[in-house]
Amino acid sequence: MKKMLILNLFAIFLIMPLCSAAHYIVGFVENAKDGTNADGHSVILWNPAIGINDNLTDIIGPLGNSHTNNIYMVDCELLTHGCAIGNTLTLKILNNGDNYISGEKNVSVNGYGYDIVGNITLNSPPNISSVNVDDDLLIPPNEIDLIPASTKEITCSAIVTEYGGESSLINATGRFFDNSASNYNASDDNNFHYTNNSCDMNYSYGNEDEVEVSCKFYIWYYANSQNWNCTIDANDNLSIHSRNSDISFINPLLALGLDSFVDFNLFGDEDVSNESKLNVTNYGNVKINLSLNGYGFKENDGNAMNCSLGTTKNISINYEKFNLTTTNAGIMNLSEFEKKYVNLTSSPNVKKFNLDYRKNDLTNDAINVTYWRIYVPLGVSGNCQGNIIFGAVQAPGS
Amino acid sequence: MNKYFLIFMFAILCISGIIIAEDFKEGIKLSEGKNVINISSEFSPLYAEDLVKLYPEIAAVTYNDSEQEFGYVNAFGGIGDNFVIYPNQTYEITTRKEVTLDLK
Repeated sequence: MKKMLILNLFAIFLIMPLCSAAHYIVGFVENAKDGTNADGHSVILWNPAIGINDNLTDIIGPLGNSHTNNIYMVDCELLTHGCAIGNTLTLKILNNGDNYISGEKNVSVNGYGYDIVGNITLNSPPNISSVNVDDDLLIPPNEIDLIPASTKEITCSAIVTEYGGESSLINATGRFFDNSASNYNASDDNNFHYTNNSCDMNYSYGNEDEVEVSCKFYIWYYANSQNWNCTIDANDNLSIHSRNSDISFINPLLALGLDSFVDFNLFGDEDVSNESKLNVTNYGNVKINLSLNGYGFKENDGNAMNCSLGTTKNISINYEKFNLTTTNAGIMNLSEFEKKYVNLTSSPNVKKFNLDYRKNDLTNDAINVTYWRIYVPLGVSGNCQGNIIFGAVQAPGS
Repeated sequence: MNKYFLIFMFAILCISGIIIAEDFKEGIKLSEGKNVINISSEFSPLYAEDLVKLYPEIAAVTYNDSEQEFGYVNAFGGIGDNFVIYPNQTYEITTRKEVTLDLK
């Protein structure tokens, strides 16, 4: 009898590891409203009083513990700290990279072997469609024409479908960037990257799941002439982000500006005027050369200026000259004038200037100086006026 | 000696619910809640699903071998591992109310 008792106790000792009780937390996961199957996703369960580091996971569906479609099954006793009647446990669907997750769900541990968690719905990430970026000129499509020395408003729009109901769409942002020189995560720069963190959201658009998102950008005249990418990012109340994008081309913009007129200030009896400087600013987005020509009263009249007094009253076009690269200060005789300056002509003549477009957002670095002198022949006096026509021509390599 | 006595007492307390059924002419009586049973008498092995169908009062059946736990839960029409219940193995059976198993 004593021997039997010892054997029984030994048997009891052997099966002690099998004594740990099991308590199952089970539940049903509804497929996402966009049709994505819940099976294959994972649930994570933890005791918030202990912390999420002590957790258990299970795959929903046939590949998991339940071996049943849309159902998960976790033995909470397998938590490192176990589980006890009265505990409140939390679970949610993990993000496996496809952005289909769920909110957290609580369940109280009771007796009788298992507890059923309330149904969980697999959350659909926001679906962004119909992304379009363009300016106000819809023809030709997908081309943006900038405005010299100013900004151009462009709009990037999209339709966001939020299957949990449009109210769960929290925010939408937009980024517009040069698709070759920049990327979505780059910093803002007027040449190649713009951000709008508060796009308009029109909840009255479409059905109860649809929101129209509109992101406006004000693009400077010196934005690169390239394919530009507008990416819209929408995030829902579970902090799930979705993105979609569209491409448009920013056309080359040839434009220049002059900050003053040329005043030769001829008050004495000198033949060749002092040098006058004239700043040329590139107000486009390509490197430019200059096309130059001039006239006195009307185009192709062969004159540089018309004067109010004197026997001739005209200054020939050949007597007005320029230098696009070098300054030559001081008084100058006619011979030096001929050597160091180039004749203005009545018809346009393209000269190398290589003025790059603006690259600095804080100060305008796309300004270059041109130098001008004029020879006043005998027989001319009074006030003289003429016209110089500056044209921008795209320089090679821009 | 006291140390070994305490270990044995602890073991006994831990498995106080164990039923070693040497003779179940009158069936195996399971009380409400968790029961750890080792059916040593001969009976035809059966699946956990079939056991639960026979005794719907059973909420869950668990078998733990040295490496892995197998569980069958009487929810959603029956989910989990539909393992075979053999004689002379230890199982944890949780019942919603008292029930007597008659597996002969």
